[in-house]
Amino acid sequence: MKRDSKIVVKQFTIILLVAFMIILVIVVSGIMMGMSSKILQLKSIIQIGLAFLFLIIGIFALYKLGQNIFPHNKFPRDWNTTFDAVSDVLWLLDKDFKIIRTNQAAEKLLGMRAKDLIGKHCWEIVHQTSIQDVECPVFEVNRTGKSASSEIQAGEKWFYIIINPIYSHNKELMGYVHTIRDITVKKNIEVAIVKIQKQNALLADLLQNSSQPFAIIYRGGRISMCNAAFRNLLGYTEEEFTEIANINSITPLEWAEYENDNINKLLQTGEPVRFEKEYIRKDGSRIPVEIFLHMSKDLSGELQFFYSFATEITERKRAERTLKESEERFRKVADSAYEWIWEIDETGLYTYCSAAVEMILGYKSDELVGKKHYYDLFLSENREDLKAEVTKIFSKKNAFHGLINKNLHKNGTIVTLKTSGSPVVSTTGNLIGYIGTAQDITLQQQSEEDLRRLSERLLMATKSAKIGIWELDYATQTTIWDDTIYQLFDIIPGQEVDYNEVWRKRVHPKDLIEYKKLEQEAIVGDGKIDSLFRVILDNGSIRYIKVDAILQRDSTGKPSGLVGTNYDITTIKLAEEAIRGLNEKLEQKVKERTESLEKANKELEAFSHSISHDLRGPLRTIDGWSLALMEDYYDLIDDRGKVFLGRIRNGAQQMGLIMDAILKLFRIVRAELLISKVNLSEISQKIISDLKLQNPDRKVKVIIQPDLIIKGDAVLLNLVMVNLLNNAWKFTSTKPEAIIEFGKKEIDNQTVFFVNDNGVGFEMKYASKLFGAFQRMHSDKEFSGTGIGLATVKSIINCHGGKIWAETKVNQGATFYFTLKEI
Amino acid sequence: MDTKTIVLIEDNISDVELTLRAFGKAQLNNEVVVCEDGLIALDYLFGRGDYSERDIRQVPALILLDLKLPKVEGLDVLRQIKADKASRRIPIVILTSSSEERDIAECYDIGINSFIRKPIDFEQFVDVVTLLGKYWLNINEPPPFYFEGLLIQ
Repeated sequence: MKRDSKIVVKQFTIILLVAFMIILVIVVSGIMMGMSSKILQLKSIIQIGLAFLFLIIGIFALYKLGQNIFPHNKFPRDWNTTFDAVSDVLWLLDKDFKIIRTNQAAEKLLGMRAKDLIGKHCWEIVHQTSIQDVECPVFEVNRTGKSASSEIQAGEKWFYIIINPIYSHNKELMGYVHTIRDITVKKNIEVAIVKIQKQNALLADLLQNSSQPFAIIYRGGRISMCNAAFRNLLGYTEEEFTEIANINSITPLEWAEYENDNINKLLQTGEPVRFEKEYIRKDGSRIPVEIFLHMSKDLSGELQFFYSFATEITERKRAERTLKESEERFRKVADSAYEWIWEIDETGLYTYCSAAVEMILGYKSDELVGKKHYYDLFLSENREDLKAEVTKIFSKKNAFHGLINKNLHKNGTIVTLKTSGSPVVSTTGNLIGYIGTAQDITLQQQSEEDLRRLSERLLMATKSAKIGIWELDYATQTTIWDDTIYQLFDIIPGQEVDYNEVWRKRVHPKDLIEYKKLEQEAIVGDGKIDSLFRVILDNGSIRYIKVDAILQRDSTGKPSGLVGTNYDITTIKLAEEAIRGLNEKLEQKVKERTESLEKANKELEAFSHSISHDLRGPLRTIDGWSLALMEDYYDLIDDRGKVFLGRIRNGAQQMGLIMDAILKLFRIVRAELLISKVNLSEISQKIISDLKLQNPDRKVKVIIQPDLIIKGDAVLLNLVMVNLLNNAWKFTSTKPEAIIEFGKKEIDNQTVFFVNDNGVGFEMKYASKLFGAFQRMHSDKEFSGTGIGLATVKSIINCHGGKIWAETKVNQGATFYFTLKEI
Repeated sequence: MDTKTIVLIEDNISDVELTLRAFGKAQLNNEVVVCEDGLIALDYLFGRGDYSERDIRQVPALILLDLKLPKVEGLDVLRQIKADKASRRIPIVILTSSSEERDIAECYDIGINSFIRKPIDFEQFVDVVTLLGKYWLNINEPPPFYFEGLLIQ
């Protein structure tokens, strides 16, 4: 444009000059015409001459001017313009290759004006040499006479030079047209292209051989190209892969949508996308990959293809999974821990709370996370103090242990926590937060307090009870004794003692052996020692010490020592011994008594045997021979003698009855009870029936209470009733209206049976003698009997754990009462 | 005189005589062999000692045995009689003063036929002996006896 404007200015100047000259010619002609009337001839010749002169001057001026604008006035003006308009340098050379004409491009391209160029050899300009350059096409033009060209580098520039010979009509060489085209740009592009091509080849090679899997994918999924690494990733050979060559066939269905989303994102933003997915390998297995997907657009911005870098992330995934698992494990552990595990950020806001917090403080984890600060739960009364303390720790990024803090449970109760924490610091050293644990020690504190009190009480108790407590450590063979133990061993308290030596010196050797044996048994057995030993004091007296010990074991179960108590039981022991002595004496006495009793029993047995055997014989002799005397010598014995003999026989027979009764009594005493249900009412009925049968003349009113059932020996109780009812029957025999009653009544809350009659009765002063053997209230003449019956009854009642007694008055009957123990 | 022999084993002379008297009263005319102790009784029964000449095929019809005997106790006599094949079937009635349960039980265990306690009242004793004789010698069917395969009548 600049160039064009210059041309326009120059052209405009020429037009102005031409216009001026024409006007000038017209003016001069006009003047001359005006004068022609006077001196036409001469003057007109002068005028014409002047006009021509001016014209010539004008033309010359124009020529001069035109030379500046159109240097070679040989060319027509429009050709000149064209010549100048060409962007290549155009030179007209003469036959000697001297520049005779040049265009504007030369100045621009070479920075040289026409005047600097004209007359110079072309090589002087182009090659800047005084002689022709070898590369110069001039040679070839000279040689061939035809046009020649070459590319020449001059400095940073590249020129394309064409030299065309110009021939006249008669084929005579007139000169040359020398064109210089600046091909620097083209040349540079060419170089760049080669370079790019080389680079491309290198890149392609790199991609092909790179271990980074890479693929070029068309829209729709067809894989245009991929490298070996990509195929290897999927386990295919090149051939096999050619058949597949589609992303869709190596992408699991479940990943397709996700992949599409990412592709759409790429298409929308144009920014490469990075995402994880899985590929299906040839063997069917899945391989996790990270895809870095780019798109390539053509100049119009249309998608050409995608290219994708796939990185196997199996390890990363595994690591991630491991991390996730380990984190999950941590969470699980954290959540199952009794301790509350917490995390806070740098502002003190909870970022994690394990499940235990609900148990400890009543808040659910999500009630705290992101909502509360570590100090929100502190008890208000010392919140600020605690907060200040913790803030101080945080500011130093210190870990802390066992910080005791009281907190408010959601339900309003106070919970004492023991909190420990460690700072979490970023790689740059900034505090990110804290992680730690809190343990509910409310109960523990309570128990510690209780334990302290208990141990105080125990101490008081053991002190006042003089129970000594000791500990023995097997590893060091050292003991810890309390003051009482020292006192028990008669050693001044606090003194350092060799436990083994004290034992050897003080403990009775026998007891020492026994104790060591028990200790060994405890180690293999139940771990307990309960024994006693004797301590021999300096003055020779003996102290009895009770020892209770429990074996202690270390964490591996190995016996580590003993903890035990000692207690002076000398007094008890002495008392025990005294008691034992007494007991032994007593036992001896009992034994002696038992023996004599047994002896007596045996004698009694022998006696009863003797009665039944040996005494009966003589009685029979007395009776038998008395009768024989009576029979055989009936005539010789007078009536008185016969009465005497009768009395002898009577006595003998009576004695037989007594002996039988005695035997019966002995048997009862010796017999064992056979317990069963006994209906006393039925038994009584039977006895009365028998009596009535034996004495049909007797008129007796009998009242028997029905169903008096007790537990006892049926045979013996029958004997009781027989005796009592027989007595009643017998002693009412003199009564015309006899009444016998058997029944039961309550006396002093006790069931008492009774047999009542309205017979002769007896004097109460003899009542105590009633139940002794051979005690008879009445003469044989009045009522016959052995005197053994009631003794037998009493024996039986006693055997049944009961009592028997009688109430009577002379001639007013008698009542026999008896009780029976409820068996 | 009845051929059926009664063996009375009793040491007390008074009792022996009373018993014989009772037999008389009961009109038992059988031969009564009185053995005054256990040894004599066994000698007699098995044909030993003083009785070695005795024909042991003469088996007594009834043995009346007292338990309290000199030399060999009544229970031992009983055992030996019962241990012998020939004598074991002879009916044995214990006639004694004892009524010890223990004795009665043991006697029955060994295998007696009757146990009688002698009453003190002699009249009663006569009654007992009368019944006894009648029963064992007249009513009761005696067992058969064999000696060397021959039945003895």
